[in-house]
Amino acid sequence: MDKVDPTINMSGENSSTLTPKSYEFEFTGSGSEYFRIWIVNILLTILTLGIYSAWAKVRTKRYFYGNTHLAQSSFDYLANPITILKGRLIAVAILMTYIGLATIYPIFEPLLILTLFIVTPWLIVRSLAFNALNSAYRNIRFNFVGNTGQAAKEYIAFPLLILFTFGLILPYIRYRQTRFTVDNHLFGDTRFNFIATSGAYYKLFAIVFVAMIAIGIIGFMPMANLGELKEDPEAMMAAMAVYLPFIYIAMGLVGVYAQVKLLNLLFSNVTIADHQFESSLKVGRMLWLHISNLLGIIVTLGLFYPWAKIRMARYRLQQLNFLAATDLNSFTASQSENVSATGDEIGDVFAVDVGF
Amino acid sequence: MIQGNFFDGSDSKLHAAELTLSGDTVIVHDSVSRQILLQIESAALAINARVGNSIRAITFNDGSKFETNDNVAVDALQAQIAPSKQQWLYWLENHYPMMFAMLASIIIIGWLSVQYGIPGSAKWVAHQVPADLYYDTGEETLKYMDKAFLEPSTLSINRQQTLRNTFLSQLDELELDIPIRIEFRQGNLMGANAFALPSGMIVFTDELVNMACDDQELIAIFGHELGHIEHRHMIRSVLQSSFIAIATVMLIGDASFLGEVIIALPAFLLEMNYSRGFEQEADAYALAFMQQKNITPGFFTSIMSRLERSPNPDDVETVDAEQEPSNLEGYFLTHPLTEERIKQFGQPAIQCPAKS
Repeated sequence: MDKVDPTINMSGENSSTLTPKSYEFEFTGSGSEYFRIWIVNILLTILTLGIYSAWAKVRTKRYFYGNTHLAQSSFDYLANPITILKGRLIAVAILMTYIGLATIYPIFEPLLILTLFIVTPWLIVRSLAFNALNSAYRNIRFNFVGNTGQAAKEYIAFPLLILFTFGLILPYIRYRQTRFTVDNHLFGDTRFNFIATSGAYYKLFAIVFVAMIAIGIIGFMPMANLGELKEDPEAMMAAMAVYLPFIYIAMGLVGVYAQVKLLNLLFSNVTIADHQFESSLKVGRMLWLHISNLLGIIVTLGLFYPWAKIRMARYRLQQLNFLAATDLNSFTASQSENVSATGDEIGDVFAVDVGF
Repeated sequence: MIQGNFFDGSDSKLHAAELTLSGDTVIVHDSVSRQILLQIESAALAINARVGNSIRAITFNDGSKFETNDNVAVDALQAQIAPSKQQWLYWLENHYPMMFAMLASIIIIGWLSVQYGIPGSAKWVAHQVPADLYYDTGEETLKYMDKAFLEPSTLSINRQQTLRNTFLSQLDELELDIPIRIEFRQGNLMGANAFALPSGMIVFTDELVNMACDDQELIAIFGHELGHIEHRHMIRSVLQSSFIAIATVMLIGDASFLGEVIIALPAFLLEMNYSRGFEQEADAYALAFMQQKNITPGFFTSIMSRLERSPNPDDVETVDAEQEPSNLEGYFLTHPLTEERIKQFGQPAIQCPAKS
């Protein structure tokens, strides 16, 4: 396992130079080490009926952050488990109330879903702020300053327009949500900037859309012509056995393609001060990781999970670079504020996807 | 002496540094300039708990921080100033015999929870809920099904009333806390079927009524559905699903990147397993019910066998003996029939007299 030697100072750290320097992210976590942390986390979580899960989350995050290196230093996760525990208890209470009400008085269910929909922007903002404020690099915390009103615009108002635009606005919405997320993040008191154009999102969505249509045509057209096979269930089954896997594999391929291109589009367009990130994930490699991780987890009945997570983190960070205009010594801290974990944890339970 | 990096907390400047303890004082030197960066009493520092071999931080109460990968040296420092509370976690994570013991414990506890803990607590909660709270529960489902595919019964009013009276007259000696109501519908898509809602509503399809060659067969089915209501099966199934969902989030809340399938599949299989358990419980209830009413258990067997064999090209789901009602999420229950299930009733099927 590679270790970063903290005693050697980075060349160029002390002399300011105009040539951009590329710093590579490096991930030094190991599957076997994380496996042992994971096992202890699971056991203690079960033994404490879930109470320990808050501590487990912090320990896991600290392991991943502490093994993520950039320019001689690593990241740190600072959240207090008690705060997370409170958030989780509130989330579970809300979830149980929701299930209880929805089961006994189903008439309220639309109302409850509507309520959840309306509080979603608040959850997103809280969740991003909690995570950012509890993440630090070089003893400087990150921050998120987006507010609920803006989030409501990006996550409710604009998505409502999908109905009136036949979905044509979808790439633009995705672009705006990403921009909202990135632009409102700060490292210390320096803002991040998202410099992609919505055009890049339209291009990517168009490729994915065309690919899906093509799969639909190639996959389902022959089946439509198999009308006469309806009389013969066995032949029908045989035809399905050929086409269904084809469709699943093709859809999986498009899914991974979209994931990789979206991540690259996101990270390669994030700047902070005069510095810029660069992500160069490859579709083939990512596809292999997904397939091998999936097989590993199935074959080992889940025990491969920690390795899968480590492999994914390692690849994603390995392909991430930081192009620094000068050195990384001049970011300054800002006044930090405390944010309750409730937003983050309710988001966890209701699986709010903030698309980051 | 520990070598690492020092960050004062006001900016991101990295100082390659050395930390030494002399007496009660901790001194941090700049490795290059030998300048003293921090001199502080050892009571004013906090050492992060060790998480594998990830970068370790020592934080000082003036907001500054020292980072190092020399975990061994930090452990030694910690032993000198303050033995940590959390060091036992690291111990657990690094003793291989413990790994096997813990893995075994997880499997045993997991099995016990799945086998007894989850079903047991769901059962307890379901019976704690006052019966009058159930009076409306599930009625929405029937309204939805009426809109979607059920049609008004084509049985004559007389026939409906006779059957209703036959069923309800069986309830005389039973102490039920939920009032039972009977409805008839043309099943269409559902074919020959009957289902119970938690509110006490039991619905028979015309197809099922017409399939019976003796009303005692329908009483047998009625007994089975009564079992679902009395045992609070639907509410227990909802509770069990939510327990599983909460446990999943607690244990692997951050698993989104692997896709939900891996987690959803075992949860789905588990719920199938519970659903089969409910069927057995309802069968047992039906058997006891029939014995109490002096109805030959063979009537249950005979209608069940006929259900299994009945050709119903429109809906494979209700006919296929092995298939569970996955598509309607257990809101109502088809009658999966196996040899075992018939054996439970210990009687050969009653032969249906040739019908006019």
